[in-house]
Amino acid sequence: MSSFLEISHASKQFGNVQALKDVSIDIKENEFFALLGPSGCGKTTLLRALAGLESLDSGVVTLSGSDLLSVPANKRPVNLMFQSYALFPHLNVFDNVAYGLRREKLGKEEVEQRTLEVLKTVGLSELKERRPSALSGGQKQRVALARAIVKRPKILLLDEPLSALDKRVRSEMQLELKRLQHEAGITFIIVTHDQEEAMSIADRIALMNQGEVVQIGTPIQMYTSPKTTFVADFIGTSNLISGVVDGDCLKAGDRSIKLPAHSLPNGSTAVFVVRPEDISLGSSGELVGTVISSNFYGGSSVVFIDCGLERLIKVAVSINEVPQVGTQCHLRWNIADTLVLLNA
Amino acid sequence: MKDLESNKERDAIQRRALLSRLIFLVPGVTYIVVLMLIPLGFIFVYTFLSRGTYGGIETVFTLSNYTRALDPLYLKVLLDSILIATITTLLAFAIGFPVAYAITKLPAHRQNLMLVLIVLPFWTNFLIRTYAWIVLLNTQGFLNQGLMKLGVLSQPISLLYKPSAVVLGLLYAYLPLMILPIYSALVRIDPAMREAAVDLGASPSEAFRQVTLPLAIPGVLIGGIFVFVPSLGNFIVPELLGGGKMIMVGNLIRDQFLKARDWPFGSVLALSMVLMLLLLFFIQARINKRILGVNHA
Amino acid sequence: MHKIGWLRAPLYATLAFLYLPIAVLMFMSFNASDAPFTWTGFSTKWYSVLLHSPLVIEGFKNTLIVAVIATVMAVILGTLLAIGIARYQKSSILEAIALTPAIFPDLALAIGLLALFATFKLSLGLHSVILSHALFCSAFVTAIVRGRLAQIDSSLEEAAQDLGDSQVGIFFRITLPSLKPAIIAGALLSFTLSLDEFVIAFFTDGPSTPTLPIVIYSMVRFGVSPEINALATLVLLVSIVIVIIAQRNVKVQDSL
Repeated sequence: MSSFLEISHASKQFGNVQALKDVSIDIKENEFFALLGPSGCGKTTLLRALAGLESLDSGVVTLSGSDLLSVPANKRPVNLMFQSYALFPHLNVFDNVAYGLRREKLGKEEVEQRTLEVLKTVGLSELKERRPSALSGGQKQRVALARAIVKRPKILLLDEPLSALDKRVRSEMQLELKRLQHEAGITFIIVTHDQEEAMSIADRIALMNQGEVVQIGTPIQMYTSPKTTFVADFIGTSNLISGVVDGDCLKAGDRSIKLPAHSLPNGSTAVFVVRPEDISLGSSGELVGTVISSNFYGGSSVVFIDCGLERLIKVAVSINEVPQVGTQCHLRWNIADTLVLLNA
Repeated sequence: MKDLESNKERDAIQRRALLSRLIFLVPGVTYIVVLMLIPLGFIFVYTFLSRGTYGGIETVFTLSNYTRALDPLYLKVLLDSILIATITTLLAFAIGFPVAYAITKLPAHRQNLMLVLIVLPFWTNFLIRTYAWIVLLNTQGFLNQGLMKLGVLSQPISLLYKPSAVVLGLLYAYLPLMILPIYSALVRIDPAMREAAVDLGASPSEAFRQVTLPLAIPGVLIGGIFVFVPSLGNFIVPELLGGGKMIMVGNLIRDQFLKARDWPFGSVLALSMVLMLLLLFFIQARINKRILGVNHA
Repeated sequence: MHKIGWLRAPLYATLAFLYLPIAVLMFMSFNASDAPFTWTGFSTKWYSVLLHSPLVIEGFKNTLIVAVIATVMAVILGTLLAIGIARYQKSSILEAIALTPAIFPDLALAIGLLALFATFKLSLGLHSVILSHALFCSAFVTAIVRGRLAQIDSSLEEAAQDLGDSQVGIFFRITLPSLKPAIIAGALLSFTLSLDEFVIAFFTDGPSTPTLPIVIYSMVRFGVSPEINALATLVLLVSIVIVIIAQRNVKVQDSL
C-alpha cells in the first residue's frame, strides 16, 4: 500500500552545494509532519520542491499515487505558508485571503462565504478591511495561514512559521496550529530548526543533516532510540561520552563505564548516551564528580558535574535537591535507560 | 552645590548637541533657502508686478499678467506643450518599463553594469546629444541615407523640424529618468510575493498583472514626473529639433526673460509650470496612498 | 520566469537607441573633409582646429573654474546637510527641501536665480554661475551621501562615543572616512553635472565669460559642423570617464 505523499530519491544541487542527497520520505494522510534540522540541511529546499517553486535534479514525488512534479506550481493541491508571510501589501486582509480562491474561478458568493468562514476560524473577522501594514506579527501570520487553508489543499506546507514570533505567542500558536490541523483534516508539513517545537507538535519527524535524512520517527522514538550521535545530540539534551569499546565497558579517558548490551567490535570508537533525567545523585554510582554550576529552569534544575571527562555531565534534579557547588556526587543510572552508538 | 554643577554640565552637553546640529544643518539649509526658496518667492511676487519701461520689473501692482496668460494664443502653447510632454512620457513608459523589468531579470552582478550603461548618456552634455539627432535626422543625414540605401525610401523625407522630432529628442534626453525609478521599485518587491501568488494558483501573467505591476506603480509615477516636468520646461529641443515653428512653454519663458524682457509675464508662465509640478506630486502621493495604504516617499 | 529571455530585445534595442547618436558623432569627428554627412577618410584635423579656437579654449577654461569651485562648495554643503538629516534631525520635510534643487525644473531655478541676482544688483559672470551650480550640485551630493549613510551602522559612532572620543574627533575619524566613497562619487558627479550644465548657466552667466556649453550652443545654432563633432566627442569622453570612476566608488543601485 503506497503512502499518501511519497518522496523517492530526491536530489538537488545548487552550484557546488548538494542541497538534497537521495532523500526518501513517506508521509501519511492527515499527519502533522516535521522536517527538522540545522540550517543548510536541505529542509527548506525540499519544502519548496514540494510547492513547485524549486525543481529537483532527480527523484520522484507522488501524491495519492499520481506524479506531483509534472504539475506546475500554481495547479498543485499544495499550498505554502511563507516564512516572511508574503502578504500582498496592496490588498486588504479579505482580498489577500480570497486571492487563491479567485484564481479557481469560483462563484462570487462561494468565494465570499468561504473567505469569511476561514477568517472566523482564525479569529480575524473584524480585521478584514485592514491592510497588512496595519497588522501585528501574530495577526499577519494568521492571515498567511488563512490564505493557504481557504483553498482546502491536500497538503499545507509551513516554512518556519513560528520563528518570527516571541516566545509566549509562539506556544499559543503551536496549540492553534495543532487544533487547526485536526479540524481542517489537512496534512501539515512544517519546516523548523527548533527541535523542541518539532517534538511538541509533530506526529512524526524527519531529522535532516547536510542534505540527507538521518532518522524518521515519532518524537518518542527519536528521543528514546536515536540511531546516530547526531540525532542523540540534536534531539533533547543528552550526555554524550565518547570513548573506546572494551568488552562490555567503554574506556573514556581514565574512566570505565559499563555499557548496555551491544554488538560493537572491541576497539571501535563509540559514544555512550545517557539523558540528564535518567541520572540520579547518590552515595554510589558509575561516575563520581564535582558540582560546577546549576541552571534553574522553573520546575527543575540542571546541574553540571565535572567527572574528569571531556565534557561536563548534565543531571536533571528537582529544585529542592540541588547540591551545592563544589560538592562531590556519585552519579548512577539504570543501564536499561542508556545507549551506546557507533561514533559516526 | 552639586546640583548646580551637574545642571551646568547638563546644559553644556545640551549646548554642544545644539551646536553640532546647527553646524551640520544650517549651511546647507540656508543656502537652499537663499538661492532657491527666496528666488521662487520673488518670481511669485513678480507675477503681480508690471514690466519696466526698459524691461525687468516695475513695482506697480497688476493682475494683467494673469489675464494675459489666459489668452488663447498662450493657452494653445501651454496645451501643445502638455500634449508633447504627455506623449513623450507615455512613450518613455512603454519603452522604459520593459527595459527596467529586463534589468531586474539579469544576474545580480550584471544589473549594476546595465544601470550604468543606461545612465551614462544622461550624464553627458545635453546639447550635444540633441545635436546628434540633428545630424541623424537631417534630410541629408544618416537616417535618410541609410533608409535610401536599404531601398525603403526613394527620396529623403524631412524628419526634422516637426513635433515628432521634438518628441524623439525629449524621449532621448529623459528616458533614463523613467527607467531608474521603475527599476528601483521592481527590485524592492519581495520575490516571495510572486511565489505566493503562483502558489495560490495564479498563472505567470496573472501574477505579473496582479502583484508585480501594482507594486511597481510608485516607481512608474515617479518616472512619469521625472520625464513629464523637464519635457514641459525644455526649450533647447523645441528650438533645435523643432525649428522656429515649435514653440513650447520653455521657449516662451525664455523669450520673455531674455528677449522681450517682460519678467512679470514670464514669471506667470514659470509659476504655472511649478504649479503643475506640485499638482503632479500631489496626485502621485494620493495614488500611492490608495495602492499601498501608507504614505510612500 | 527567472531568466531574461525575450526581454533582451527591448533592452538591447534601447541601448542601441541611446548610444547610436553618440557613436555617429564620435565617428564623424574623424571625417577628413567638412562634408557633414559623407565620410571621406580619416583625419584628426578637426581636433587641432578645435584646440586652437580661442572661443573654445575660453569656454573650457571658464567651465573648469566653475566646475571645480562649485563642486567644492557642493561637497561641503551637501555632505554636512546629509549628515545633519541622517543623524540629527530626521525630518521628511527637511529631506524634501534638501533634494528639491535636483528635481526642480532647471528653467524655473534659472529664472529665480536671475531674479535674485537682479534684485541684489549683482553683476552676472562666472561668480553667479558658480553660486547657481553649487545649489543643484549640492542636492545630488546630499542624495548620494544620504544613501550611503542609510546603509552605515550608526552604532559605529555610538561605539566611538562610548570609548571616549569627542564629537569632532568622531566626525573626522569615523564618519568622514566611512563616507569617503560616497563623497568622492558625489564630487565626481557634481563636477560632471556642472561641466555639462547649460540652462542655468545660460541665464546666470555674463556675456563676456561664456562656459563651454554656452559656446557649444552658439556653435550648434549655426548648424552642423565637424568641429562640433570633435568637441562633442571630447566632452563625451571626459564625462564618460568621470562617471565610470564615480561608479567604482558607489553603485548606482545604492543611491536609488
